[in-house]
Amino acid sequence: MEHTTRGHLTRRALLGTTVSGLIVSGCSSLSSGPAAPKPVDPQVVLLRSLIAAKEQMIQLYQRGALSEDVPAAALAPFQERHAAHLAAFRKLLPPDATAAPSPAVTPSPAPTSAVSVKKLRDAERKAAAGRPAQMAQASPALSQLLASVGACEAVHVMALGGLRG
Amino acid sequence: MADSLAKALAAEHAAVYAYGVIGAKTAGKLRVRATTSFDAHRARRDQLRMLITQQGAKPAEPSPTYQLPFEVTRPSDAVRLAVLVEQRLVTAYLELAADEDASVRRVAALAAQECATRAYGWQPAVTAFPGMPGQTASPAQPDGTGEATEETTDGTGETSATTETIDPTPIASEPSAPQ
Repeated sequence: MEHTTRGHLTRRALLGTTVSGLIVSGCSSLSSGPAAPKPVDPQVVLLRSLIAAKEQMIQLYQRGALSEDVPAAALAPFQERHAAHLAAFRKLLPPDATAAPSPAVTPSPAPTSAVSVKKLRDAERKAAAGRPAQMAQASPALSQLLASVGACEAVHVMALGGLRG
Repeated sequence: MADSLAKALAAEHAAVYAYGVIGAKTAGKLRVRATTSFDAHRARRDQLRMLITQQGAKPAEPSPTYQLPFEVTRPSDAVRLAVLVEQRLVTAYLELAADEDASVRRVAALAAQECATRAYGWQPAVTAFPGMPGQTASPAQPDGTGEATEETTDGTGETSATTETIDPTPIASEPSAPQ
């Protein structure tokens, strides 16, 4: 059977290779391949996303400290409270889950550009607004924690409004 | 009906009563704030009543009167009472946040945020985990006065059987404070 035309793969050849490849890979995974990975606990998935978002919030505050809007010291208590939230989320992760972070948890580069207080307020507002939806998927204990964290973020929106910037 | 739903309603009944007192002891901008808060708590109270009714239970009626935790004679007392009421409500709503029903959790989340921001409006102090036990608030501004201290003085001296404490939210399944 002719699979090439002037040196290029024909569509039939490509499809045939792909299908046979799928069949082979499918058979091999059924017979001799590694066992399917254990399904990840949805609570762990949720916690990892919460942790990633908190890490991003803290990085945002680090960039806010570079801004000339407000003294860095004024933002420090906000960042500390977010760090407390982050620690609380991490504490709820099962020990065997901490070693396998999702791609979203990958740390970003060190902060280099400043962000305004307005951007921090927007981030706080967005975080607080997202808590009810997250609570719908959470365990009872995590739901309570998220309600409290959301309340703190809502207060942060007000408190940041009192800062000059 | 979930016990936490009944507790949240009891806390809102108490808040409505307390804001009546707070409004009577304040004037100007504080009175406006008290009136706005009074209306917000009545709305939440009615929402909780509806949720309880939807679950086939009968919502509890408010007590004719409530025993205040301290005597409210000056505007500063009224502010302190308002902060205390809002903080206690945040705790009540955190308990409700563990409810199995996602729609109830949503109500709890939004109400907790509202109560926390109202407390901040009365007194600008922030904690990392509002509503959790053992939280120490830090002033958000240099001239902030910090967290209101809770007093146990009974200013009314009333011990009538129909009098309830203004703090009807003992936390049976109290949210545990993150370490």
